[in-house]
Amino acid sequence: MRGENLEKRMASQTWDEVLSGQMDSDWADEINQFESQLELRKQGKLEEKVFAETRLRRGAYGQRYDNGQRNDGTGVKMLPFPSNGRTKGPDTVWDAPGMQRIKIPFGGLTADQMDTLADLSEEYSDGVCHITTRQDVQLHYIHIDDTPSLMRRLAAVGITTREACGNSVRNVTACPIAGVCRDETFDVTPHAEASMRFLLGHPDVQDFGRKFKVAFSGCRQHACGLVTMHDFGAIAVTREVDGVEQRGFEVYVGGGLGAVPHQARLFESFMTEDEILPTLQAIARVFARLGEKRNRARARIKFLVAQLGLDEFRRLVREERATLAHDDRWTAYLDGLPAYGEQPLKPGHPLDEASGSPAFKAWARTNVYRQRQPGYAVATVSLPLGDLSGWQLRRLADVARRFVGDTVRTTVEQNIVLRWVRESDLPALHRELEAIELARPGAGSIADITACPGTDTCKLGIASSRGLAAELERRLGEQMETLDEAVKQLRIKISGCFNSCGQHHICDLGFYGVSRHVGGHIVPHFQVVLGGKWVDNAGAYGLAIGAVPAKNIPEVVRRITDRFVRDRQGAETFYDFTTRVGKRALRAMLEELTRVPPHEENPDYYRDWGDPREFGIGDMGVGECAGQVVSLTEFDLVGAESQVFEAQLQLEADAFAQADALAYGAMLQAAKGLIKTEFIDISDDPDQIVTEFRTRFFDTQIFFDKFAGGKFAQYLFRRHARGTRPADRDTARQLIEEAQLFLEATHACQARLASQPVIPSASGAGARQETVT
Amino acid sequence: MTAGGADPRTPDVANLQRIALKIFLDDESVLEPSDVIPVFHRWIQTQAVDGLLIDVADYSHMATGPCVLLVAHEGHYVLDRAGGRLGLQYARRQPLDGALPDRLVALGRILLRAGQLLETDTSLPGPVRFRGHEIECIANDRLLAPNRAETLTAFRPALDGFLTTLSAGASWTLTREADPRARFGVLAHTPGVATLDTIAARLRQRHASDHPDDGRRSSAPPGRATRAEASAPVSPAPAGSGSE
Repeated sequence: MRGENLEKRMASQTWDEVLSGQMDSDWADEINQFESQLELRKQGKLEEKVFAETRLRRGAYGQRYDNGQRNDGTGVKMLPFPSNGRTKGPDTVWDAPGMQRIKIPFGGLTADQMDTLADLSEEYSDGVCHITTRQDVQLHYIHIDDTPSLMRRLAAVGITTREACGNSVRNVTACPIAGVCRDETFDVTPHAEASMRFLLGHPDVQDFGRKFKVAFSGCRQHACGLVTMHDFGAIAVTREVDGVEQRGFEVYVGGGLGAVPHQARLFESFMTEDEILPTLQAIARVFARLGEKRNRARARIKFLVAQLGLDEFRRLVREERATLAHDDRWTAYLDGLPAYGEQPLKPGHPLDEASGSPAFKAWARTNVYRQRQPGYAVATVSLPLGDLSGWQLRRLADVARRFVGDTVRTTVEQNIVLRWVRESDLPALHRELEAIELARPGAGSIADITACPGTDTCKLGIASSRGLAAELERRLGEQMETLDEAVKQLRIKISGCFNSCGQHHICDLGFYGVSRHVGGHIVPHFQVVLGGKWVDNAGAYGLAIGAVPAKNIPEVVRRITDRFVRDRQGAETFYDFTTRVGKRALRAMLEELTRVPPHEENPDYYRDWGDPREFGIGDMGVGECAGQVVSLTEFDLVGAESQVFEAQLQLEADAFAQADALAYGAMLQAAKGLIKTEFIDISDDPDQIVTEFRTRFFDTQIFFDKFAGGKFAQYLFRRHARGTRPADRDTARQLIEEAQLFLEATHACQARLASQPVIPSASGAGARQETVT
Repeated sequence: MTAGGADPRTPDVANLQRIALKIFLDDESVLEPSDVIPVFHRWIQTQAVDGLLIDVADYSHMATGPCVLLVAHEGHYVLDRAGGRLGLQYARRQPLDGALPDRLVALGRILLRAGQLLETDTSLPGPVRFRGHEIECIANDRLLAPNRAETLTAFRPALDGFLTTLSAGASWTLTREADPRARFGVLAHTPGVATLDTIAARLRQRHASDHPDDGRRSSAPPGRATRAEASAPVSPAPAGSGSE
């Protein structure tokens, strides 16, 4: 049985028929099966939860407002989709637009694939292709009925969306300049590709509690592979054995950003090439067997590694590896390695340095990387917010055909690179890119900002990461010529919430969206994250130093970068600068920017970037202020924020016990503030706070986040249960992250409570009344 | 289609549903794309235009392509800069009833109503005026309408009927998109000058004559009087004399 999408109902032919014979038969069967499941769901014969995971594993995601309601700025309004009660997942209306994620392994694209992506963006989406922070492509506003045809057209050019989302192995990423990099150890492309092929649909990767991300890097020192933020990361290394150079990988496990980031740990300092795939398989089996399945918030492999300890995890993986039956695919690709390599379209030829317009020279300074192969260069096509139109992508495919052939890759900085450009062709290439409005200079600069979709399309977004990124790119782009060289090199990354899709932990200036309740209104804010490191494969993760109203973030950037220029010592990096100056001093610089003017004085603060609507969270209505009881809560929240910041300072001073105690204290104080809305006489006794909090806010689910449920409350309960066991660096750091998230959840809960009418109660505090809608 | 061999697609425009129509701004300097973001949000609040209006997507950071979208279930309203020219597009996504000529008229009416609302929106900085003598029609479906000459042949009767209604019989010059990989699209231009109100009135008349039962329903945008026609007379000419 197969579905009847729009074209099938209406037309004399289908893409299935037209593309017959052009798709890999297995892929074609899978898509047919998906289409059948889609039809079964439409008929109500497939459980919505099952269909949701099915479509997620085909890359078909939900999108903001797919629950059928939206705050239009005057209140929450229903969106009466004609779905007749049909859903494509829990709380997800069938006809609501969704997002299609398209896996692009190691970012590698051919010109024909670019053509197809361009076509699909025009016909099924909104005419825009979006490059993601994991080298994928995303199309938005897709109707679920269109997805089978879309998938067939991709399959016909060798692209599958299988396991682009869901609890599976996500896109395998790799350095976009692998193979042409001047200082890589060796080209990791074939290993990334082999991993992708081996793991795709493998039976051992179908039973995870959560996603699993794999990355390959050709070196330790650059950022390209971002190995430390992956569940499995491999850095190319060599060693000498009996006078012969042997290739292998330094393998890391258990990394990840997300709400509580973990840096990956060294699993093995030298793993031979032939062991990579079987080890991946063994890790997958251990993860599937022992990883958390019920509590999604603890289900990434980083939690399993932390729980078991690295040594035990390693032992289990090795034990598992020893039991695996041999699979020829583990090593089959290795035979082809000596001959592996891309064929340049044209013979190399150096650039005449005098050639080219001033615009070309400005572009070349930031967007051109000289390959290790003489006479060739990589040209970066810098995309604003990772976006390009279908028309641009098709024209870019033509440009690729003329200059480089099929040697195009997407990057985790949401750009596209053309590899193997003959240097002498660079001026002509630049002219062609100019003609299609893709010759923006400043790739990899402070004005080339990475941002997740945020509130634009993501269901979890709190603040407008793209709106802020667009504003910063505009301002910084205008100042580019006058910016100090050291500032130009900085990187800004922005997430719409704490989930880190914008990778805000691993850059110089990171921001993630939060909200604050001010005078009866909700105000969009961004936490300012400092101390992250992009290089060294994301070598350090930053921590939040305080929340600033969204409209003040450009001023935050200006003040911090100005101070960097003024106080920088020699060739000091920004990371070293922030470490030396210290977060206390940097936070003090921002103190006045944290204040929000009253609504009547400046209503602009109560709107997000690029959105004229009065700001709200979760698209729930914003009600009246609950009065002085809320002020007491706010007082405790301010105190809690101070404690969590002090905890960071203690962590930096290697005072782990103090850092741990402060982070724990912050959570207790925030919980206490919330309890005061119902029970004003709450004491300072941790046991009483936790008990009251559990009874009043956890058991009643009042504290629950719409998407995360009670996971933030669990942070407090776990720490409370731990008692006085000593903390090390990792546990203290993790607790600080968790405390920050607990505080954000408390802010959100407080805002929800404040939006409800209150009636006086005998305890002297307010009692909530059910909101009548 | 990128595979070798004959293209197996057969134009089937009778079943074509994904159609986009675009009108062009007379003076692009009067409008910054971001100016329409609050307008589109207001349209959602007041349900000012046809369809289930969902959200506004801001792509004004892009130098070409869609600038600002009013996302709707049935079809998107797009302030569009594709081809380097700013205009308003309505891109249908869900099926409409009726034969292709009727569907074109219906789409035209939806688009022109939105265009008229922009022209009369007092919150916009300049006097926004769209050209009534130039319109782009795109078949947003490469399966049913591959960009080939046969598609134009098949599409032409319905298109000509639609265009001559807009121009009161005056001839149009048609320019078809040259890239065979692009969507089938036609830029239609007629000599003389016509306002949006003029062509909207003609479409209304056509609709009224085609659907006499709908006569009592007003198709003018709610709460506004229709502006008087201000165009020079359009001389009648045989339809369908355009060139590719």
